[in-house]
Amino acid sequence: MLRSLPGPFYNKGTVENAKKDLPLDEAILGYRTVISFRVRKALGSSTPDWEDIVDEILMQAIEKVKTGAFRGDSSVGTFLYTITSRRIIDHIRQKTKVLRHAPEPAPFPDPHVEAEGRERARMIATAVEQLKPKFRDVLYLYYYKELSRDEVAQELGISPRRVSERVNYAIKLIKKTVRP
Amino acid sequence: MTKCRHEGLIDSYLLDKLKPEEQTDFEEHYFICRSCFSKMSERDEIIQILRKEGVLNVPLTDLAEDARATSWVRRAWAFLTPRRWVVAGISAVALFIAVWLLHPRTGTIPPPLVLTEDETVRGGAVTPVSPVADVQEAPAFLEWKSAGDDLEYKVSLSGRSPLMTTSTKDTRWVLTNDIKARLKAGVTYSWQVQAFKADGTLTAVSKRIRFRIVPKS
Repeated sequence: MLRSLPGPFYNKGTVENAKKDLPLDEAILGYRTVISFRVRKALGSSTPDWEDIVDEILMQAIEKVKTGAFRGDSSVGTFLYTITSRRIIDHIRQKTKVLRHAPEPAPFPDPHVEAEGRERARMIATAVEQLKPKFRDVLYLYYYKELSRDEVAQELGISPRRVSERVNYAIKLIKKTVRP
Repeated sequence: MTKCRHEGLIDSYLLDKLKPEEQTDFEEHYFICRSCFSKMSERDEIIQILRKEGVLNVPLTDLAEDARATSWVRRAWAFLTPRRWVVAGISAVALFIAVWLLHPRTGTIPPPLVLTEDETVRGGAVTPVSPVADVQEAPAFLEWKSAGDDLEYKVSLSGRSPLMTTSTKDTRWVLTNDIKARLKAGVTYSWQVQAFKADGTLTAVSKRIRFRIVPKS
C-alpha cells in the first residue's frame, strides 16, 4: 500500500513545517528519498529487499509519531536517521543468519527503471568524453583510482587546490550537459 | 540553496573514505540538510557512472608516464595559484618601477663640464672642432659645432691669464691679429665655448680645450 503513495515531500519535511503545512505522516513520507539512499548505500542497490526495508522504516516512524513515542524533541531528520540506522543493522544481522543456509536470490530489475538508468548513464559518459583531458585525468585518478586529493596532485604535478577546482568544475560541466 | 559547511565531505562519504564516526555524523547530517542531500545524490549518480570501466577511458600507463615526465617548471607553474600570480606580477612591476626611478640614468645625465676651477655645471655639450690639439702656428680661428638653434655662444681664450672673451651667434670666431700676436710658442692656451638661449639661460658648455703652439723645427 505504501508503494502507491506520492513522491517525496522532503523539502517540507520538518516538524515545524509539517505542523504548518503537512500532516506529520506526510512529512515523514517525504523522507523516502533520503531513507532510500541510506538503505541502498548500506545494503547495496542490487539487494532486492531495500524497498521493503524503506517501507518498514517509514511505517515504523509513522507508528511512533501516532502513538506519541516521538514528541518532536529532536528534528524529524534525526528521528528518522536513528530508526533507519537501527533497521539497517537489524537487516544485516538477519541476512547474515539466512545466507548461512540459503543462497541469495537474483534481483528482478524493473525494465523501465533500467532503461532510464541506462539513458542517463549514456548521457553522463558522453559528457565525460567531451571533457578536456586535464579534467578527465583528475576524474580518473580521484574517482576511478580513488586516490586522495594530495596523491592526485602529486601524480599530475599540480596543487591539491587545483585538483579540487578541476574536479568540481568537471562535475559541474557534466551536470550541465546532462541537465541543462 | 545556501552552501553547507559539510559539503566538502560529500566525495569522501561517497568514496567510503570517512572515518566511522565521521560517516555516522555525515549520514545523520544529510537526513537534516536538504542542500547536502541534494548535492550528494546528484554526485552519487555521476560517480557511479565514472567508476564504470571504460567511461573515463584513460590508460593508466599513459597517464602515469605523462605525470612522471612533468618537469620542475610545470610543478613550479602549478604551485602558484592565479591569485599568487597576480601578486607576483604586481610585485615585479612595482620593483621594476622602483629600480627605474631610483637608479641613476648615466646615459641621460649630462656630463659635468668645468667652467672655472670653482665652477662645474651639467648641461648639453658643445663640441669643439678646432683647435683641439697642438698647432704649429697661432690658430686663425676657434671653431665648434652648433649646439642648437637660436643660440648665442660665448667664447673665451686663456693663457696664464684670460686673453679674451667674446659673444657670437656663429659657430666660429676669427682671432684678431692683435690676439694672434699675443700667442707665443711653447705656452699652453685653453679655450671654451658656452651656449646661451635667447633668454640668457646657459644651455651647453664645451670642454676646456688646451693646445700649444709648437712650431715645426
